Amino acid sequence: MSATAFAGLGRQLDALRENATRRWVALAGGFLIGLALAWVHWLGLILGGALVGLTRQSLLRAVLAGLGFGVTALVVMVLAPGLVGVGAVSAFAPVSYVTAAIGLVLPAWGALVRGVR
Amino acid sequence: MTQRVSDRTRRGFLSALLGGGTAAAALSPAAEFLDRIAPLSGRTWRGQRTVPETVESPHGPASVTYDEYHVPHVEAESEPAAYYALGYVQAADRLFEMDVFRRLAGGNLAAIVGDGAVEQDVLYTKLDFRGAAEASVQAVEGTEEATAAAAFAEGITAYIADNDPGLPFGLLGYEPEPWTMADSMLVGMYFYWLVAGSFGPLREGLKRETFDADTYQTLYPRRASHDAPILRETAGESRSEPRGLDPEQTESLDPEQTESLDPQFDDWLAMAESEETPGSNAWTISGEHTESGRPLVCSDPHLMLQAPPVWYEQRITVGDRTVNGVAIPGTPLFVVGENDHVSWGMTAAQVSQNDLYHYETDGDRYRYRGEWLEFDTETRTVAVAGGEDRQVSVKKTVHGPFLDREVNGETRHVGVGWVGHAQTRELVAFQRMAWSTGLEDFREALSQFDAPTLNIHYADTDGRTLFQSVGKIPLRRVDGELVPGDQVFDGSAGEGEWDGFEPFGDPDWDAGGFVSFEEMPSAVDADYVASANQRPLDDPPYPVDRGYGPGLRGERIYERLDETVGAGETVDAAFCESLQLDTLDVRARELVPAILDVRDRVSSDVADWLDELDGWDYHMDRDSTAALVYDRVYSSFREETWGPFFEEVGLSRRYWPSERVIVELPPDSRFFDGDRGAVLARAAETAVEELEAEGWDRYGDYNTTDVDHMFGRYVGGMNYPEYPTSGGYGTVRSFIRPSDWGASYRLVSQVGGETRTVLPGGNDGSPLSEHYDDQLILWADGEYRTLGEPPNGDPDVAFEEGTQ
Repeated sequence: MSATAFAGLGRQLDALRENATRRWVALAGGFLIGLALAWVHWLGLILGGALVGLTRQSLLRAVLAGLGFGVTALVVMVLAPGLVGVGAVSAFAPVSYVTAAIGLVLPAWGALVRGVR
Repeated sequence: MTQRVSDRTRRGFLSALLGGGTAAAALSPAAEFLDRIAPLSGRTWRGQRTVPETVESPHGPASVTYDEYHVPHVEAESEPAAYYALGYVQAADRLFEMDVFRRLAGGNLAAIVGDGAVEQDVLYTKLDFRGAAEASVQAVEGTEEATAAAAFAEGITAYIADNDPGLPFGLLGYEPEPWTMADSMLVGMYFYWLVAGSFGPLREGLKRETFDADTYQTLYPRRASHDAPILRETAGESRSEPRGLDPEQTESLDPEQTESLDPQFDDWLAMAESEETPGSNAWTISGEHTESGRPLVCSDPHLMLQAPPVWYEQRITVGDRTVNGVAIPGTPLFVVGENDHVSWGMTAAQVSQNDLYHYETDGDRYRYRGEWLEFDTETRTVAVAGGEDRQVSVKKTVHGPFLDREVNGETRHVGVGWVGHAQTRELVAFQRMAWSTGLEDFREALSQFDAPTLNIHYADTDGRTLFQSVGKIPLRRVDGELVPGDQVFDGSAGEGEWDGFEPFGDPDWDAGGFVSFEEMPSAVDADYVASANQRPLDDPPYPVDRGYGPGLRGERIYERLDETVGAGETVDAAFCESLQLDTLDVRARELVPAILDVRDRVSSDVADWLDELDGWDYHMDRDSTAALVYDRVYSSFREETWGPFFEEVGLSRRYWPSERVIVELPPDSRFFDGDRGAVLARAAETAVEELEAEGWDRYGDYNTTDVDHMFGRYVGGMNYPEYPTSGGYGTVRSFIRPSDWGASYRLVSQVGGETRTVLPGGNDGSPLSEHYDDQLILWADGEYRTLGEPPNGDPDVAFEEGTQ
């Protein structure tokens, strides 16, 4: 991406973050797209975290949003039909604890992209 | 300007961190880990086992309805249709377990678990159970039973193709391969070897080399001192005629043969043996002695206790015929069970079906009857997850597999001749037993039993009963004389061979190399017959060598049967349940008075604990403090007596004498340094120290169902809950806490009437299922469930005509 295009994207993000409505709509969109990506590959957790993080007005809020996205992904994993369900958390301890940690760390990691712009 | 440079630096740093970190995760081994367990996309969490409501079957329609304990009731109009459906649902419930059995037996476990299993894999690869399984497929080719078994394998493969394989596969990151009939045979081979194969003759050699004759005979008496063989005068007609063999006969070892005798070599071979000897209890009581007038068959096989259990409960109805019972996952065979006409149970006969041979060899060839022969050699690969694959040279001689290993710079070897390595027909025998309609039919099925050696207990709705030992027992000859198989034979001289036997070929069972079916111990329509791995007869008609059990359970079972049935009482199923759950330890009757006598040789605190044994009824009940004290003192007593002695001679615990020996040694025996009381006093001090440190107060505080999943060490949630329970090593109610061994299933069948069973766990192998361990509490509490008709309503799975 050229410097000009990058600067243009940055300006659009700045504009998005200034408008509360657009900010929240983008956040919701980031959650949905992120969950869809995370459903097929773990890189989706990082990308989802990045998408929701980019909508926030500061790096700290971005990381918090990333963590929120991670918690959402874990809740979906437990409740979604076709996946293992809540019983797995206890049945597969301590592996499930590692999974929970991955679910929080990867999105928060992705949200750090907010610090780039 | 400075601020801008600082921002640029921060952005650059963050970009590098994010990009570099993500790329590193994606390209490193962490990616495989994340593929397995990341939230949402991880294979582990995708592997929720589900069974479709409709499944296409190339063998025609069938239905499956699960009962309240998740036991599948399969119904179909043809056997192939039924067995296809059975394979499908058995895979749904136990796919990982059956795959582990297949890998273990085939020497293919390291491919999923890594380095830790390599040495065991090398041994199983050299043992070539896969070749044995393929030989047995040939033996049954063209039979109806083979058609059913092939359909069963197709059903498993269809399940694998249709569904996520399950959580453990995701965790380990591999996909199961399709299933074949040879795979079912392979799983069977693993268990047949476990029951009637061993490297014991090698150990006998080490024992004889280590000890003088007097010590050897004291530590390892050929005959356990009890009066309760399986067939006694009360058992009715015995078919067996002694062949005149001297049961005390022992052969001296040729010095050359001792080259194989090495403890480290033995340790390696022991990887293909179980920690405990498979045992079991079973008995039959004639209808003339039961309240209902129906005969009773009771059976509780003793094997490893694991999560999920070693048995799978299943029921099949084909047309108007129904059979139910338990099978080893991965096989369709009803090993213990009943149908509309007959019920059967079994115990391990404890008769070896293998011999060991030593050869003169130059590395590439071995000498045989004056000639140098090339080994039949093949190189196979043992795959290793996360490690380097190992090339294994699989060699065979005229007798069978040749197991060699370098130990301390020298190559040790032993040749193995095993009945199971030939074309054996147990698939046909088991299937025909399951569908038989009466005594003659059943005996005809038993006559085709080649491996392993078992004692079968049978009764039918006509009121007939049968006890029958089955399996081919080799007759070994040296210079034309029958000899026991408790020694390593000189393979180069052609000693100890079995007439008519051809490894991996089609043997002539009637060529005189094996005890004939007609000569095997048998009793028809006896009042009652009980087997619990003790010797079958007082005068064995042919050489026996594996070493029968100490007879502790057999003695107690006959004691109670004699007191009731033998005294003219009529009994019922509840009596049989109470006998299966009997907790009296016959060793305690011998030893407890001696323990009480040492109270004045121990501290007052220890003496207070020993006082609990005063007036104790010798029952190993979970609420008993006396049982706890006895069990821990006895355990320490063995450690004190045998530990230092065997350590000094360089032999492992595997060489310790059987349980009866220590109890029957005289108090001034040299093994106690002339003072048993002193050893018991030390044992009591150690035991009390242990139980006070652990905070145990009752036997059940220690004696808990510590039954684990294969990966329970890493994923604790897959282990079963620990419930206090009763029973111990020497009791009829068998539960050996340290090695997780015991009653792997309990069956009490009133033939043609009510049947009661219980599993030590649950029928569903998924840790997420409510049926994963729903019978464990019943088992621990000594309760049973009643087998019933399948529930009414729509089936859970409908198999429809179609092509997979």
